[in-house]
Amino acid sequence: MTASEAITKSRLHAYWKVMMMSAREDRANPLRIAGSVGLGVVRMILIAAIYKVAYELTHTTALPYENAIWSMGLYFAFIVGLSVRNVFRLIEKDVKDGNVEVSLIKPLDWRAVKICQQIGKNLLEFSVLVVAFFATLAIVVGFPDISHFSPVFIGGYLLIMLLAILSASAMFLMVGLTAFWLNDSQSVYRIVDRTIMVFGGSFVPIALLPGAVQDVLRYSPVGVYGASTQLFNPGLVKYLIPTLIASAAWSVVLLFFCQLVWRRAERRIEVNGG
Amino acid sequence: MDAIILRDVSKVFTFKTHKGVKGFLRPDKKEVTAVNDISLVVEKGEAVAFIGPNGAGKSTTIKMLSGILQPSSGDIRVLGYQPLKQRRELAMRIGTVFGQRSQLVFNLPLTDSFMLTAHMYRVPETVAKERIAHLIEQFDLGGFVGQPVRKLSLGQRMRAEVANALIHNPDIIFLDEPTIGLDIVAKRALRETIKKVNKEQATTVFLTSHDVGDIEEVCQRTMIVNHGQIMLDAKTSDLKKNYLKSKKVGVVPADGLPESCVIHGIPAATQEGRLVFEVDTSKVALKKFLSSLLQKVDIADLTIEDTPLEDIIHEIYTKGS
Repeated sequence: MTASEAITKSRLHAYWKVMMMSAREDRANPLRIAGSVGLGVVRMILIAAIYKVAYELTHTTALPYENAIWSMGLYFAFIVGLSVRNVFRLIEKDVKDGNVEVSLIKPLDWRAVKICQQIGKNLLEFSVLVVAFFATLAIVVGFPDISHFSPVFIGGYLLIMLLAILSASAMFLMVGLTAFWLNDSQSVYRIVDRTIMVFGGSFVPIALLPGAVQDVLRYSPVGVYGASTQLFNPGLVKYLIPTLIASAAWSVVLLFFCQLVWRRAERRIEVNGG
Repeated sequence: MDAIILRDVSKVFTFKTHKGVKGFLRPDKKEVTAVNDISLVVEKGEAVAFIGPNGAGKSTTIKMLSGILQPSSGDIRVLGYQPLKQRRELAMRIGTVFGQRSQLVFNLPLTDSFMLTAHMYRVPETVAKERIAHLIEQFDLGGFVGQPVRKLSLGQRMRAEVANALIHNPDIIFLDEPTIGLDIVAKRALRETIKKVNKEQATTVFLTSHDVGDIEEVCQRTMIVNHGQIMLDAKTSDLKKNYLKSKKVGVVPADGLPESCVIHGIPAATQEGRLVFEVDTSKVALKKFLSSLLQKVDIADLTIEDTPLEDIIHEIYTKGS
């Protein structure tokens, strides 16, 4: 077997192709991406203006203003743009219209395929958003302080980001799987999503919260998910290793529970037809 | 060699009789037996029709065979695999087409869907390209292979679905109502290609359909199921031979339609300007009936028709219930 044949034969290559095919499908819709990026940029400018006022009024020094805004930019690009959480919609759709049956007879894991499809679907939008946000923020608010950057920090941060994708996928897969019982998992999604938004730093950066609250949140599933947007928070350097450990631990726990929920859900597959 | 073996397989679904708060307070359950103690063997290379009325247990059986559903009891082996436990290994060797569900990527050209399927089944790229080219030719997809799937007609899409299910060269193809919603031309084209795949590549075909044409044209063997049980398992050609007890004799009299006409106690019905006799050949020999008819009526035109297979199957269903 040649090297290229071996790659083709690998399951990972198959998942990669699923992701790329999904990205290709989305590329056929450039207007949607342009609209979404345009709206995102406007929103980012508005947030920068609101934060500017808040910083001037409160004289906050916990996190430099530029770093706070760049963190928000990363948050919107990563959490909203890449939108791993929307994997629940793909799962819910398959459950509702019965396509889960067809997907299960494929030689790949249905849930992993859905995660790849979801990431692939937004990969282009995410990439464009990152470039557009950072270009806009460089012009509007200036560059953040990156004196805390080091190869170890960047490596650790990338690992946290990967683990965040993994744990978020597991969390939102579970949300989607509730459709097996509730038929509509939208309500569960809202509860989980709002919790993440409140405690994950989307309204107020975690660095601006009281110390005790920060400590609790930092190592919670919501906190480790939010840590993936803390690239520009110098405070993360201090907590890098424990955050990494917590991210890995939560990924394992959430994947375990996801598997447990799936085993229960699998028993609920019924038949469309006789 | 046996491709499919089912031994005493049953599937019972349990439902809560009350939903919501009522269901929580009174968790009474109702059991529905979808498949009841079915045993069957399908040999490699056979084309088998698995037919029955709505709710007979066809889909449940096909979904147990492909590893989606777990049987409540009994043993299933498909190509030697236990479908539920070895679902992914089995998936590599079977192809499935569900008439009402698409497995193609809607917004991309057909070729992309085919390539994605090839990647999913880990078919090497050069082999996949050759195979896809062959299937495009075999299923006559060349005219629209570059178009997004959403723009295809139903007939084109169904042919593409079957071709897509064959990309990894499966040993068995499960077809669940593949011709549903197709026009006569599209149905014929699809049946022809399925037949060809069965003959040329010895791919085992397991087909469920409500369309008798699918069964007559594609399958050598027919199993009729009702109420979760196999009512009949016979060669498709024997179905007519064994169950055909009547023939329709149609006559256009040269001197116009008489008010009434009875031959050997069989009254004629008038249909579209002709007399039609339903002759029960177990009571009156066809030869005897025709000779009496020739004596009594001056014939301008004569037709003799078998009872449609559809009527025969309907009779078997009715007897079963």
